[in-house]
Amino acid sequence: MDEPTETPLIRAQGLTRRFDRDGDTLTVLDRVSLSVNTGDMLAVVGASGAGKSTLLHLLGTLDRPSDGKVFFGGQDLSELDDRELADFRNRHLGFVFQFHHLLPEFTAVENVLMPAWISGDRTRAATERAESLLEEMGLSARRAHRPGELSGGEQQRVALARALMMEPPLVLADEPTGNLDSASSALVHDLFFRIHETRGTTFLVVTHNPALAQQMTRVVTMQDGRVLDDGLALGGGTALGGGLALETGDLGPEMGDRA
Amino acid sequence: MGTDVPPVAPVRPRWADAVILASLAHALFWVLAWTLPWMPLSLGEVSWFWKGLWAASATGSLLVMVPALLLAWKHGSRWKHGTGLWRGFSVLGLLHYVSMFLCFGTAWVAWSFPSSPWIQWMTGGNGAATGGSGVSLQLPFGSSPQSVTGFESDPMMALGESFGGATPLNLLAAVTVGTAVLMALLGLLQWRTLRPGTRWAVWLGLDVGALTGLGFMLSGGPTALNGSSRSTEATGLAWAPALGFWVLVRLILRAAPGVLRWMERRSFRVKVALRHLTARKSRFLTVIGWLSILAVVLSSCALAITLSVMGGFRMDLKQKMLGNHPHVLVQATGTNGTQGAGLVPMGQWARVVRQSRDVQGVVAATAFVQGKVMVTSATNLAGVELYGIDAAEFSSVVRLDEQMESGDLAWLDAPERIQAPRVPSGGTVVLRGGITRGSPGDAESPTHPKAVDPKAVDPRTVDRAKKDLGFKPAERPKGSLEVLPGIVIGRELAFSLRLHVGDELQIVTPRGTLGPQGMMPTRSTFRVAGVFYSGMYEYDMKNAYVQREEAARLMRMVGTVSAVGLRVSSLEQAPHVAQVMARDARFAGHRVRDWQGQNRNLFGALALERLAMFVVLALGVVVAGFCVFATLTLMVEEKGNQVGVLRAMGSSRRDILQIFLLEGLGVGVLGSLLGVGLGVGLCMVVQRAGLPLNPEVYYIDSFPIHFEPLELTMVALVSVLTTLVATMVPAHIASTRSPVDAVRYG
Ligand SMILES: Nc1ncnc2c1ncn2[C@@H]1O[C@H](COP(=O)(O)OP(=O)(O)O)[C@@H](O)[C@H]1O
Ligand SMILES: [Mg+2]
Repeated sequence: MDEPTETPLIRAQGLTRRFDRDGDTLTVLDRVSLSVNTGDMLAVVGASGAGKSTLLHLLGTLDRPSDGKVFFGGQDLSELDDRELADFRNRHLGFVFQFHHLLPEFTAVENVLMPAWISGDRTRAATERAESLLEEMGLSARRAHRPGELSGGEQQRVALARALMMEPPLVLADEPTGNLDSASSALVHDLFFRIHETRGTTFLVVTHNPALAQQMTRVVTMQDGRVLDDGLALGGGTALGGGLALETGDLGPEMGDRA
Repeated sequence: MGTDVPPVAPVRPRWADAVILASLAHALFWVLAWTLPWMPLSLGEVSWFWKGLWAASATGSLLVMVPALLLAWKHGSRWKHGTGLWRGFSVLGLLHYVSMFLCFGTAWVAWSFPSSPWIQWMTGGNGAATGGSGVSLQLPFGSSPQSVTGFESDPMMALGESFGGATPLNLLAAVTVGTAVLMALLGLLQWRTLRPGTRWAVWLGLDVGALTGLGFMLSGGPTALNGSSRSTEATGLAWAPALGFWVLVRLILRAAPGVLRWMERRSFRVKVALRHLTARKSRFLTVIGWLSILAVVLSSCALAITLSVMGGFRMDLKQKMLGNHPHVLVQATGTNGTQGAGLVPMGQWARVVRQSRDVQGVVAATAFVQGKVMVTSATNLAGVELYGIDAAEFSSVVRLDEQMESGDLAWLDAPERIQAPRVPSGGTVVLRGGITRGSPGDAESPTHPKAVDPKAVDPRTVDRAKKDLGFKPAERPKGSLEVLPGIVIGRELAFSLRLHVGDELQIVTPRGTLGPQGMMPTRSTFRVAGVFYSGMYEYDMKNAYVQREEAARLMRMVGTVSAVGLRVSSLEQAPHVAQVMARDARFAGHRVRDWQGQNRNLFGALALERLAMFVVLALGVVVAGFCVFATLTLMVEEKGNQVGVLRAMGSSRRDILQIFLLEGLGVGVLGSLLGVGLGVGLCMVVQRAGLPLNPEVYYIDSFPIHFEPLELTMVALVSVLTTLVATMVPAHIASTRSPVDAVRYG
């Protein structure tokens, strides 16, 4: 509302999610409003049970809100039916989950290709793209391996490559490094920033990792289903955008050390 | 199976693998040698070439295998799967050689010195019947040296005979065979420890061998046999469909990976569905996939077999019924109104016969007289359906001439030629169809429980009937037979009346003359000109045939006939021909009915029975469907979290539904194809080999099989549909599952 000139990439408006449990209604998400602009690197932090995952699922249209709306680039997503939503997720969103959720029956490269296959793209170009993505993740040697033959960090990197396959503007990640050791985590975080830098992909990452949260341009803190604190108030969206490159540039060597 | 398993660390040398392969190949060879009648080993006369080859191969293998087995004994403990196995191989192998060469040696000795004490001892004193230069010593495993006197081509039989006594030779033979079997079992257990390349090569060899064998069989291999016994020929023939099925299965297995890859390229749904059904590494089916497919295979196989057997029985019945029954019957209904009310004798039958022959589809026509009469012999009496026929013409309509068991149908027209057959009384005759039963004259024949036992009839009844009918016992002429009109009766009637060809019987008709004491039945004496066997008890008991004019005289309908019977070019055409004729003005005043119309009740009951059977067995398919339902529900449970991630990646509910439906479809199609294929294969084996039935109980000597392509297609379709329906619930569950639930808990 402050910046009528720029439409946010994704905007939540009064998002509420209630669960009925034994007659009681449990309000897990309570009138959450949030705007994410293109190019943001947004971290969502908060105690376990605060409703972070629920928010992410609502933004990612995997779940429908009890109240409130989600707009993507101005489009009201509640107006879309199941097929349209599926298509929307396929083209505009990339997901990375805590439990990597690769398809165990498929090889790494096949997993990366899956979104393209789902969209009906079975071209050689898609395969080449999947391979180059794997290479970017440092996994070209593992292309023909099945998830069961990969380490946790490798699986998560395959999942990241898969999330990027359709070149979505927004990647939603729910505790992507929650199960990884610090070295593997750092590697994945590093990739987030590199991708953000090279492609301008917007990231919304739920994390418990303070190091990662610190590096993000914006940190949203949640508690009991409400947004407690929005890091946007500290800096200011557009201004921060300019400082971002500098910040990450500074971080580069530091991360290199950790990795 | 395939080349899927990474090579087991080769902790044993390659030649040890050869020991395993040798044990398997050896067993396979002997199984083939025993079951295939055209293996060189079963040549009636074994040439020196074969003798040499046998001796050379036995000695050669001895020279190679004995050192190998000794080495295996020594080093086996250090190899994979250790001491027990390799000691087992060594002991069994060496025992095998010792006992085999002892057996061979005995045979050779027996050949040269048939009456030596050694032979006497080995065979328990009776095995070596000496006969000049030859020896009839039977080696239980049917090897060559004893073949000098001609080979018993059924070694299993020889085995059975030889084991009649526990002679030293038989014990040796048992050891020889037993050790070979045990070694083969050991080898089979070690199959998976062989190198993938080796296994691949063996499979290739088996496949090429099977293909070659099939080609050999299809090109008439087994029919080119000569001098083989019936049983081996039958097993040889049974091999063809079995081998065909085997080749088919192997072809499918070989083509499967390529076909699967091709199908995967169609759509990601197919891709995911296929990956769910196939195992991760081998691209072969998972346990769940196997289980659900097996359920469909079993049910559709059972359904296919049952329908084929029932179809066989129906076909058999149909054929037998039509064997003595015209396809189409034309009868006169009288010209004075009341259509179809009463049938009247047909006067202008010659015209009807002539015009019927002109009708499209009719190949033969004959007029006949028909009526119920009583038949009496010296011992019994029976009511029969008497047909007055023109023997030659009648046989062109129904194949009575082919059913003649003894006597001659043509003798009806030439009664002076009737002769008693030259069958010794009380002897047995081999009848068509290979059933041996007592001859009709054999009163004590125990194989005839179903026939009417004359003793069961109250003798007073017979006496009274005889008196009433004015029966005079016919004197059996000693020398040449008095010329009497001939009659052909069925086998069962002949047995019941205890009549042979050449015997006399009396026909009593109800249309008698009015005498002083009221109606006097007409009696005429006939001579049995022949006995037929149709395979239908009803006909064999009830039908009798005499010359047309004789019958017309008896029935007092001289100049007329009862009906005109037609034969049409194909059975299926009969209803059509009947319809056409019924509408034809030339046959006005006549009723035209086809065979199905005449037996509507029977065939209706048969059809109903089949329907009932189909429904009952379809319940079996439903059970299989439940099995598929259960396994696929398990699969959905297992793959549930994938649903979440697939949805997140952009699959719609419908995609998910389709994925699981495709899995069900795959299971259904593969299962029903394999099941119907297996059913047809088994039926073909049964058909070729002939599963015997007790002919006295079923009036048929072996399981009849008839394939109805439409029905088999129905079975396959029903199976596929049931599987699909069974898949719907789990597929629906999967598609409506919330992606969040699936994603939240990894
Ligand atoms: N399907 C559900 N039914 C009932 N309660 C739920 C359900 N899903 C989540 N919750 C509750 O919502 C709250 C927030 O969950 P979540 O969004 O996963 O928190 P976070 O990701 O911040 O740890 C938790 O207390 C959880 O128990
Ligand atoms: Mg969470």
